[in-house]
Amino acid sequence: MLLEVRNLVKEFGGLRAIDNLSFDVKEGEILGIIGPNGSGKTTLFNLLTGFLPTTSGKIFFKENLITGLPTHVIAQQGIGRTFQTTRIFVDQTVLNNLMIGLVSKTKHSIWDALMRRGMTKREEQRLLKRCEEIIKFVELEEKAYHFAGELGQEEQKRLAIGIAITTEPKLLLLDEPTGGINIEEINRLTDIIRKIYNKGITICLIEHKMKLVMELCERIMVLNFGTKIAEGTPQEVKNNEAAIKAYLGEEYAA
Amino acid sequence: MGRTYLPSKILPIMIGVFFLIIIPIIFPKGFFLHLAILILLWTMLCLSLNIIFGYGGQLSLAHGGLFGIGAYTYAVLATKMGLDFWAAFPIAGVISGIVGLLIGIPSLRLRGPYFVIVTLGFNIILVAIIENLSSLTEGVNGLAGIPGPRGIPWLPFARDFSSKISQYYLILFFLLGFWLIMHFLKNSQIGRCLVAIKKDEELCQSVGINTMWVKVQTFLLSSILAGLSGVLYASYIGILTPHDASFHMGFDALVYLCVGGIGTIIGTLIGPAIMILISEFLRPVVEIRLFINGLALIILIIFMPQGITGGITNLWKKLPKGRKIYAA
Repeated sequence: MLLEVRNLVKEFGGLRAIDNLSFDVKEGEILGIIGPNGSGKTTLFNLLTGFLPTTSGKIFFKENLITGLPTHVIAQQGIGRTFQTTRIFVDQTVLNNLMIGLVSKTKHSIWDALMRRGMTKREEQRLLKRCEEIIKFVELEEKAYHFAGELGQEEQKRLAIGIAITTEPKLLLLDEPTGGINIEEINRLTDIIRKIYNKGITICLIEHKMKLVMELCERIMVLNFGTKIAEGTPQEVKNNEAAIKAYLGEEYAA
Repeated sequence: MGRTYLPSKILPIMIGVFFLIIIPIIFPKGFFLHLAILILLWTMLCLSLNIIFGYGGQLSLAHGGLFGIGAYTYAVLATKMGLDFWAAFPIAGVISGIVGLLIGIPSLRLRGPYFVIVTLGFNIILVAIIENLSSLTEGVNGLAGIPGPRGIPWLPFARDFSSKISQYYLILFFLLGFWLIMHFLKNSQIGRCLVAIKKDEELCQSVGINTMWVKVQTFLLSSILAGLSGVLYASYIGILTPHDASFHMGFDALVYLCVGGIGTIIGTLIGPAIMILISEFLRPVVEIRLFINGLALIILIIFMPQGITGGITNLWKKLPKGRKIYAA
């Protein structure tokens, strides 16, 4: 198991956003997480990545307990994420955005700065090469020197995914990668998600576009009020009474 | 891509440094030289504030206090313990660094206005300590008779620091060193980090950057530089009162920095130079001096929100574009 979540609870005051949730993510799969708004999907991601402290419960990543660790340590251990609202450095070029993503893998202390380490030509070349790979991967070759703020919505989403994979995560959490994108532009994003999957990176995907989830995911987990109400293959979830009632609606009933 | 990291403006830098070097030759003594020295000292404080505020995006109001800690450490070591400038200088740097860590570690956990208020609080505490530790600091009466740096007999150009001109060059020497540090910081991985943290700290954490550690280091460096500028200030002025450690100093530095251009290297000099000169030229009209000073500041901030450096850079950027359109 790559990720094991056991009896996870998150309370905001009196509200239980995540209520005794347990699930596993297997290595190399795409797990879809669906559910109505406010069902705790994004909260779950924030708990997994350490952005929010858990109230109780345990999270194991590669058999190590990661609950309570600071965000950057969890990121270094191999969990990458994107955010629901696209977060990129809008006043930097696409290339620089990715360079920032790589900073944690370079010498970046004050001492290194004063000793002029970490910015040597060879080091820069190495980073540039890695950035070029990622730029190619997310198909932004023509926009490499454009400011990220000048990019279109869908290009920004691709850049955000690019930033998330600079750290070479084992597990990538995608929070609505196609939110706010129209149907015509989605194909490119799904292609990239498939490419990431083909590279062997495990993916957890929050998504509201059911067609996409049903196509991409091997397994789907349905959340409602912070608890798991259904889990299984797309076919099984489509036929699940609780899932249909809470979220999918009659049209998806097989 | 490489162009971003090259020291692209060698010539203007050379001209600027040359200009700074010949100032004492143009004004060999008297009031103007005194003003020039004050400007350099303020530039150093602005520079240290610029590192944490301009690059790090954390507005510290404790820098007046850190400046004062450096100044008082030197003053106490020199007057009460008879320590030499050259021995006290590094000690004062270390102590202001330690105080900086004590302030930085708790307060850097906070963001935005909360950080500002907490650092302001720390500054007020520091002044209270200085005022009440009268066995060392003479309290509100202040410390007088602080010696300047002693000459180094075996080092050419450094045999004697009793004249104002030599003091000017000593301070300029350190200032150039500070600028170099700032340049290194700006063009480094941590500089890249700081720009990013300023914009979106959570995104930085999500790609594995220990943002707290980066900010603490930056605050440490900034505190040491603030303290060292305090040492030079104390050794030049020769007298210290708790006011020299108060948050007013930090506020003044902040205003100068806003005028000069936040986050720029040259702005740390332009800001103090303009504000101090304006304030001195207005001395004859003492009744409305502060009024004019304030008005000038308001007008400047409205029309050049990025300071003079930023404003000029923007004009410069607009120029070639206009030409291109014209040519096409």
